[in-house]
Amino acid sequence: MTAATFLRIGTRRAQLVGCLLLVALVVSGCSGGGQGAYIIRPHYFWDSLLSPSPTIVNAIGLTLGISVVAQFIGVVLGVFAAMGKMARFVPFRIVANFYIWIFRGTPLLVQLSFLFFGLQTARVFMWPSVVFGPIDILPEILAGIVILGVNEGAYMAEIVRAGIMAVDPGQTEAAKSLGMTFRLTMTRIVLPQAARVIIPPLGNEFNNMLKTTSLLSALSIFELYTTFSNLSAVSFAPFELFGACAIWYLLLTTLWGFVQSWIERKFAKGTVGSQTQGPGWRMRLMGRTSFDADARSLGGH
Amino acid sequence: MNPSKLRLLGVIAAASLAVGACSSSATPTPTPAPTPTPAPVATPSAVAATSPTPAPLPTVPATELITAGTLTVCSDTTYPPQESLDASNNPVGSDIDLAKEIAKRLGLTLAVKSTVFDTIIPALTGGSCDIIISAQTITADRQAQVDMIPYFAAGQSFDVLAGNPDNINTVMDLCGKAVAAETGTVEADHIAGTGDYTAATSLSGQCTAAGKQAITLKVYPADTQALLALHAGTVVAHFTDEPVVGNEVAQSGGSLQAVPAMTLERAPEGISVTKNHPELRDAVKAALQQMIDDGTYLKILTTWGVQSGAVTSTNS
Repeated sequence: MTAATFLRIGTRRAQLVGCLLLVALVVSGCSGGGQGAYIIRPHYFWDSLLSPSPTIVNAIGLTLGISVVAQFIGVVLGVFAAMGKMARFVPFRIVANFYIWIFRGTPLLVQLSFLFFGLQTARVFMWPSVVFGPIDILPEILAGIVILGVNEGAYMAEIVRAGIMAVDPGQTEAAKSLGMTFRLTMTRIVLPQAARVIIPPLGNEFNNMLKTTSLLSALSIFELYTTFSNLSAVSFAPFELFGACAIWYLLLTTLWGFVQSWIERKFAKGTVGSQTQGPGWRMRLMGRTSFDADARSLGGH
Repeated sequence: MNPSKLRLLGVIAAASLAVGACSSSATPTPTPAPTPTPAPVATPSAVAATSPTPAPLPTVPATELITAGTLTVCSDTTYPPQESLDASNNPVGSDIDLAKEIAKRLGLTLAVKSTVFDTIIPALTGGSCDIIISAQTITADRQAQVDMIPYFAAGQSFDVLAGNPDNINTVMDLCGKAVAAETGTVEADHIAGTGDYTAATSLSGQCTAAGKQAITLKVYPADTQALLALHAGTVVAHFTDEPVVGNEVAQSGGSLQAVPAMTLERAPEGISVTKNHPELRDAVKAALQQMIDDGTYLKILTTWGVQSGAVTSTNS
């Protein structure tokens, strides 16, 4: 039965009820009846979600911190790489293209393994630990952030380049005719307008970054995944704990989704067609059902 | 009721029949167990060169195996010399050879599944394999989950970079430093105070009790990665089982050295079987005991250089 055929059976509501029943049947039929003797202990699941231990809270904080800093590094490197790609000075173009080629062409895990374990073992480069006031960043966390950031920069370069190209060339011409330097043009005219095009894919990239930090388990960084993996090893409850881990990631990415919509709305202010919604509930409460200065919609007679 | 809803109900009914099959086949039906013939101790003939005939071992009922006729073994093959993968990704090691011999004696073919150590017990209880032979130290925590048959003994041992640049000679020298171990091992528990250990009995706890800084534990999914951390200078010592340390140092070509004075807690390691497979457990135990009694066990261990971990009985 194809999806198309399935979707034609019954009404939407009946299909939804059917799917839920199916899931309930599968879960009830298969739980606890397997070949082995795994006992499901729900308290591991609920405790790690509703009353997370300090270890888990620290891990979430570390995941968020690493994601934000790495994404920031990625955006900065992406902007420079994008401008380098579009530069007229050939060596800039070569450097930018080489950087993008290398870091988009190799898997992140291989980059982490080579740039951390590879370089350190051969004593080519030892990652230092840095101290930011009270915060002491271990060498592998520094390595994780930097490598994630540099990897991200290669992808951000394309996104930033698309954003810059989306800005009307007339803007750059007008800026030049006003006598603005390249730096002033970029920072005051082009990039702020490019930002609106960059935000949605950037939001997507940050969503990915939140989840990609789980690869840092290879460096024994106790972010969210490593923490839950270690907990499940000690408690022999991978079903409950990895389920809870998934839900924590879902929470983080969903929250980011809300933040992203808010940012997009802020950047869209003052643009054509940004008013896709009518008056809010307060105005509607007072009788103003549309923005048109039409007497009828103003609750008039 | 409209025809489209009727069709949907039909689909649900068909699906529930399929799901019903899922649960019913899985419930283990208790079969009347054939009384296992007691295996008499094989007496090595003192005069002639005739090898003693192996006594008949109890057969494993097919309901206690995932695949009838096959002994599926879960093993964390990142642990030479006990279990590892050779260049062609075939499992090799003293534990693997022991598993081969046990399977042969029980008339089963051997299938080895490489499994990550920190989820190896859930893999067993979840039905991915029949037994685990993976250098698992017998702990109360693990015995609460599975039955364990003693088959080997090993201490917990450290190795460091050649020349001992960080001067690690006693446990107290580790205070304030980082040590690498594999996730889910007793070594990781011993440092952090998890599993069978408490904060007081842990190595890190001993440091803090003496007023020094705690030991930073770095855990990795595979023991080979923990060794990599030592080579990379991220940690000052690799904490793992004694035979593994011996093997690593021997294979390192001079870049590693063991710290023999710091070998701790010689403890038995066990073959794990789920608690609801008593006949499989008894059969494996009997096979292993037979191998111990007729010398095959010691021969296998000597081939791999781990004879110092030999046990004489499968009784805990």
